[in-house]
Amino acid sequence: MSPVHPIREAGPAAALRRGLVENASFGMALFVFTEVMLFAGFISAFVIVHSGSRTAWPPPGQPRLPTAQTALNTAALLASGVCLHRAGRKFRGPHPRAAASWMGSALALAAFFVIFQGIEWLALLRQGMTLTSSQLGSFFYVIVGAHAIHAVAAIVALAVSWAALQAGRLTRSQLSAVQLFWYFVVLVWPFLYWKVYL
Amino acid sequence: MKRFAGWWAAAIAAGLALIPASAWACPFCFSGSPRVRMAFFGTTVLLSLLPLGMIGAGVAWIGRLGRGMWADEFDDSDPLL
Repeated sequence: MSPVHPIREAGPAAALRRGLVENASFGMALFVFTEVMLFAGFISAFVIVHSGSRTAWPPPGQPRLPTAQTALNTAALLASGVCLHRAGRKFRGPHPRAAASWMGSALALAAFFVIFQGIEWLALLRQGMTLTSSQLGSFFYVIVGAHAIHAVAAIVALAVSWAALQAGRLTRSQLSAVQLFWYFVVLVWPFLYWKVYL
Repeated sequence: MKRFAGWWAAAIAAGLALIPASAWACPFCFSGSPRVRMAFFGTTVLLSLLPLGMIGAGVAWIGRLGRGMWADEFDDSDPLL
């Protein structure tokens, strides 16, 4: 008896049934869509309150935000995004394991960003800027804090992906979803920096 | 008259849409400061166009993927010829 070969259905309907986009990527894209709107809402509220402020900015008694140090941190975050992009290209190449070093670099830079932001927060708290000390403090901790939560979640996802890659269990679909989320975390930050810090 | 009912309804709706410009409904929105009004205008534009832009980009992306997939499905070229 001759072996049975699966017949690949042809035609647009069959193509649609197979799916145009991986489920994980599509789900993550929808999630990122809602997150972009969340941060757009935060930034809009901040811009309106800032523009309506009748006193100096930052408000009296509040410290100036550390723009230079955060610029360095921003560079680290952007570099992390580039590393993950390189990791993705390596993973889709002939030697997927070669992506491990790039993914590890992305992870290290991402951890640097979060730790550095934590140190910055501690310094600002010591200088008297809290969630209730002023409008600037409220917006700063809510907006930057929301971003930090996303960054920590993305770092966990990156670490899990890195471990899966080392074990040879990482799939393209998983990596695509993690990449999409990390690119969102990386690309939304420069806007936050521009509007909140500068 | 019935034939033009839809047009009349659209014209009345368009006319009503012009009224809120002078309603001064929200004292904060129309605080008199040009800076605040510009901020409101800018953020309204951002929050209106951003989702539309993202939906458009998503549709374009899926459309591009679909075109590529369909082109592969209908590729009748015989590599031996």
